[in-house]
Amino acid sequence: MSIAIIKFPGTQCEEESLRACRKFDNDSRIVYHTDLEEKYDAYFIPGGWSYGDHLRAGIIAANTECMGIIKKEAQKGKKILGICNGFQILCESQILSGALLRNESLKFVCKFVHIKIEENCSFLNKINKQVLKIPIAHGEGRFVTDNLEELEKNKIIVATYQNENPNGSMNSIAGICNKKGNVVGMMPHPERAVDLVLGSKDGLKIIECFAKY
Amino acid sequence: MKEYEVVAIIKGKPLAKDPEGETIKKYLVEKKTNSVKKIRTAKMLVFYIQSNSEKEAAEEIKKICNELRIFNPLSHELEVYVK
Repeated sequence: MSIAIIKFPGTQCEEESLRACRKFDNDSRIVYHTDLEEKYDAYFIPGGWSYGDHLRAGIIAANTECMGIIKKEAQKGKKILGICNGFQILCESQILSGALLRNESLKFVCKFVHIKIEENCSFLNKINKQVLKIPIAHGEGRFVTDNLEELEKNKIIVATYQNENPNGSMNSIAGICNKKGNVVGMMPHPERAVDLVLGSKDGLKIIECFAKY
Repeated sequence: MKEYEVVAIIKGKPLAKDPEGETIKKYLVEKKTNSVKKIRTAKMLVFYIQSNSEKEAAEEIKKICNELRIFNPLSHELEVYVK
């Protein structure tokens, strides 16, 4: 399995995403968005501030040729994981539904939270019902949708925040997938929770589902 | 062809709360008056465009905003006018 970790101008989390994926897949590599080709088994869109978050987080990256390739690969059923800004890019590309707005508190939130992996139709269903301790770090993570019932009916909701709702997301939604289940986006950063020295290694379970199987 | 100043206002739909608008109302405007019932914040873009007419200029900017998703139709509304 080979994983492309995509870097846009302003992407910041590619190194820790690479380290996390390499725990399961030696062929993971960072690929600059203009160099991306349709030859990888899976694609990881890491966090950061692509294009400085100008206009709206993720919208400029969503309009790149690279995301056109990702859209095609998603249609073929390839696995795609978008974390934080990667999730925003996937929503703005309309590969995933919904939108991510400014946090209800109007503050950038950076801390550990507990998320529950819900019963869902994605590659994360192997770990469903598990509660994981994963950090978040975002200013625009308030998930909204005009179609909550359909998300629930189709098991699109992948993860929800537990005990608190750190950004005001509808139904405490932390992550979703597409209808096929091969594309997942979430605001929490599993790649930052891969060793106890970092405060948790629960993120490994998410990365394993993405990178190993 | 003439240059037109076209203003595009992108404001949130009511489906999502506007915490910035609520904060401005509660902690600033209400110091002066209670007659303001709601504040919605918005982003404004000003386009300077060469066009044949005001109408064409506005239509072109609406098209650009729609095709490039300058606003997200799920969560935002767009208003365009020529100044």
